[in-house]
Amino acid sequence: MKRPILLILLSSLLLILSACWDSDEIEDLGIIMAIGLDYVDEQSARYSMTNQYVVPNNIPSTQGGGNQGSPFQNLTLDGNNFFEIIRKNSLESDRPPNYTHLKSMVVSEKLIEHEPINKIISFFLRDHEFRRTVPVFITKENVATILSVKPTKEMFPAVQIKELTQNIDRSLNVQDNLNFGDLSKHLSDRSSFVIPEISINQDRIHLAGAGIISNKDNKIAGWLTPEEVGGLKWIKDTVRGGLVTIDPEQSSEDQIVLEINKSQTKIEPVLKGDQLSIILSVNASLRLGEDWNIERNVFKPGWDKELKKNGEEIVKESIENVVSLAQEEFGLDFLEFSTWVRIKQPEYWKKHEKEWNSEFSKVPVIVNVDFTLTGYGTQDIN
Amino acid sequence: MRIRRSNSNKPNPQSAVEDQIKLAFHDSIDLQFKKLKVASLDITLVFLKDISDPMTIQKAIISPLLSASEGGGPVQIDGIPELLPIASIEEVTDFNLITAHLMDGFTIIIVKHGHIQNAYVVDTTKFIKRTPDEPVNEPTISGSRDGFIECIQDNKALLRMHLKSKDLIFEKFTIGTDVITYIYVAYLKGRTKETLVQEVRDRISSVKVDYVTDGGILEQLLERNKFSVFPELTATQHPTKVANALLEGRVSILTDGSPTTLIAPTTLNMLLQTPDDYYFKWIPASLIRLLSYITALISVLLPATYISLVSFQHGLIPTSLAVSLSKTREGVPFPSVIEAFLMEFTIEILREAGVRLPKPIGSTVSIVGAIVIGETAVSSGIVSPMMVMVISFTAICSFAIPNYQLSLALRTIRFFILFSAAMLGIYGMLIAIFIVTTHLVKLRSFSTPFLEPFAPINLKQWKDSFVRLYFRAGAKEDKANE
Repeated sequence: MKRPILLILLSSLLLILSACWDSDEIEDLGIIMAIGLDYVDEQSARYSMTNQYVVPNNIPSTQGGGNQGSPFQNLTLDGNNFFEIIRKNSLESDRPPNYTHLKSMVVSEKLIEHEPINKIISFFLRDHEFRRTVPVFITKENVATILSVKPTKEMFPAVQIKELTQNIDRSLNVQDNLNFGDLSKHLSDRSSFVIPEISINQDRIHLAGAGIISNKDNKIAGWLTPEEVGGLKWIKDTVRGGLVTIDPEQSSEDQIVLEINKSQTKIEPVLKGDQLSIILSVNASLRLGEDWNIERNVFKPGWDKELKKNGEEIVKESIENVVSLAQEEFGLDFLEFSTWVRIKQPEYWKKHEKEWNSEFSKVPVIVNVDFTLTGYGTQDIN
Repeated sequence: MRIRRSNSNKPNPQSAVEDQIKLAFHDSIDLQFKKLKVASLDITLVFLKDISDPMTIQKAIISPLLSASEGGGPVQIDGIPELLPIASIEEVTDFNLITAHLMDGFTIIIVKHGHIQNAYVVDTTKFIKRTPDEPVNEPTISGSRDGFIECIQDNKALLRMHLKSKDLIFEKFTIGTDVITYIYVAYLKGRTKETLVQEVRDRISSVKVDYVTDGGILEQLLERNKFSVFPELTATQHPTKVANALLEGRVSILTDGSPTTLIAPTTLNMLLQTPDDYYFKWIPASLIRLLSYITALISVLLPATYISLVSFQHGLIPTSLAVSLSKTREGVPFPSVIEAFLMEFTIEILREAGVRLPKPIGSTVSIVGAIVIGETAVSSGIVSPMMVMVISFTAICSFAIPNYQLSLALRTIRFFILFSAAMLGIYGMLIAIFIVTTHLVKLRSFSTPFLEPFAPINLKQWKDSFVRLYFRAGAKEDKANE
C-alpha cells in the first residue's frame, strides 16, 4: 500500500514542481494585430517595423461608457533586422508583444525594391508565434501611415485590411489574401506571384491592385491595376462573383451589367512536337443585372445572343491583356501556368524547367470564353 | 426442542429462558413479560413493548390461548401453534435468535411443562415508518413517485410491487456484531449471472464490523477501490430504478433502517441515466441523454480549459474574445489561477451552506451568493466577470448531473484537472485527463468494467448509452443478454 501512495505523491510533484511555467496572463500580453515593414536607409538603421498593439482599456464596452482613446497603438522602431526591432519594443512597452493574433502584415514597396522578399520573410516563417494564415499586403504608401488610418467599421486597421478581401465574391477586382503559407509555397516553388496592394483613398484604407514579385530576384517587378487583377482572376480560376459591364462603346446598345454566378477556368497545355501551347477556356454562368436598354424583350427567344457575345468578348480581351502583360512586358509567369505545365506535361517541364521564364514568353495562349445567361432577374419591365 | 442455554449452570431451568432474556436486555423497562396458565402449561409471552403491536398480541395470542384454557380440554405442549390464528409461527431453539426476534418486534411464546420448554416466535411487529414519498434528491418528471423508506419490509414490498416476477429472489444476511443490521440481496434468477450474485454474497459475508447504520456506509464497506472517487455501487431511493437495474441483470442490496438501496455493478453509463430517459419518445430522450454527457464533461473541464486558454495558450482564443478578455481582466489583482480557485471555493461553500440550511433559509443563501459574491466581486474588481460566468456555468452543469455520487466524484476530479491546467496549461490538462481516463478504464465494479459499453467496446450496447434507441415491440427487450 505504501508504494502506490509514494507513486501518487511523486507524480503530483511533477505537476507542482513545474510551478506555472510558461504561464502568461492574457492581460499582461501586448497583443499585436498588425505589423508593417518599411525601409528607412539611414546611418543608424536600415529598416523600420511598426507594431500595432491592442490597448484593451480603450476598447468600447457594450455597457456604454465613452470611448476615451484609440483602441490601438502603433509603435514604429528602427533597426537592422526585424528580430532585433521586436526586442527593442521591450524598451518602450511593458507588455511583451504576442503575435498569435496577428491579423495582417504590410510590406512597403521601398523595402521590396531593395531587399528580396525571401530574406524579409525569413524571421516570420521561422518563428513559432507567427501563423501561416497571416495575409501579406504591399503598399506604395508609408507603412506607419497606412496602419494609423482610422478604420471605418472595424476596431483595428489590421482587421479592416484583412477583411477587405472577404468581398472576393462581390467584385472582380478583389483577389484572395496571400497568406504566409502561400508565400512560402511560392518561394520554394521559385515561381513569380502577386501580392495584393493596399493604399489610402481619402483617409480610408483602399484595396488597390497588386504588386508582382519576380522569381528572378524575389523583388518587386511591376504593378497590376485593379482591372488587370480582374483578368488575372479569370486566368487563375478564382472568380467567385463580380460584374461584367458592357459599355456603349463596345456595343451598339446602351450599357448593360451582367452578374457572375459561377465560373470555371480550365488551363490545358497542349504539346505538338516540341511546341507548347496553352488553351485557356472559361465557362461562366451569368445573369442580367442591370439593363439600360428598356426596349429589350427578354421573352423573345435569342434575346441573350448579343449580350453573350459582347460579354465574352470583354472577358476575352481582359484575359488577353493580362497574358500579354505577363509574356511581353514583364516576362514573368505570375499566371501560374507553370503549375499546369508541370502537372499535365511533366516531360516537357523537366526539359524546360530551367528556362521557363523565357519559354513562357513564347508560348501561344488561346483563350476561349463561353457564357451562359441564366436569367434576367425577378422582373422585366416590359 | 430443548433450548440451548448460553449459561447452562443456571439453578432453575424453569425460568432460565426468561432470566436469560432479562439479563441480555439488561432489564430494560420496555421488555414485557406476560404469564398465562393454559391447562397444565405455563406460558410466558415476552415482547418489547414499543415495537410490538398490543392488539395483535391480544387478539392473536392471548385470546385464543385463554379460550383454549376455558374449553377445559387437555392442551399438549406441541399443540400450541395450532391454537393460534396466525399465519407464521416458528419454533426457535437458538437463544441468539430469540433476542434477535425480540428486537424485530416479535413476541416470544415460551411454553413450559415440567422440564420441557418450547419457544415459539410470532410476528407482532409495529414499526414507526413514513409513507413512501418521492425521494428528495432524485425527482422525476413522469414515472412512479414512490420511494424507499427506512423499513426494509416495506422496501421489499415496494420491489415486489414494481417487479411482479416469480424469479425475484431475496436473500437475507445479517451484518454487525454489536448492533445487527439485516441486509437483503435481491436479484432476478435467470437474468443475473450467478458469479455476480456469488461475488455480492462473498463481499457481504466478508464485512466484519461492529455496526452498519446506513446503506451509504455499507456501500463503502463493499467497495474494493478505496482510493477511487468514483462510486462502485449506485445508491438510489427509487424502486423503479432498482427494478430496472434488476431487469438488466444487476443485483440490489437493501439495508434495514436506510432508504438507500445499492445497485451493483455500476457503470458510468448507468450513473448518467435517469428513469425519465425511458419514459419519453426516443429522439428527445436521446438528446437529453447526450446533454447529460455533455454537461458532465463541461462540469469537469470548463474551468481548466478557461485557465489554460487565458494564461497559457492565448492563441487558441478567437481574437475578438481575446481582446475583450484582456479588457475585462485589466485591473484584476490575482492571476486567473488564484481567481479560479477562489471562485470555486466560494461556490463549494455556498453549495454546502445551501444543503445544511433549512429550506426557507436555503434560498436566501443562494440570493446572497449570487448577488453579493457574484455582482459585488465583479464590480469591486476582485474577479473578472468572465470568471464568474465560467464558474457558475460549471456549477449549473454539475447540478444537472443526474446522480449525486457521480456529481461528487466529478467535483473532485474537476479540482485535480484545474490544478494541472494551472501548472502546465492544456498540456497539463491533457496529462490529468489521461490519468483520470486510465483510472476509469482500469476501474471495475463487481468484476464489470466501469466504462462498460465504451471500454471494452461493445457497440451493441451503445444503443443505450450516448443515445437511447427505440424499443421494439415484439422483440424481447432482454438487456441482460446483450
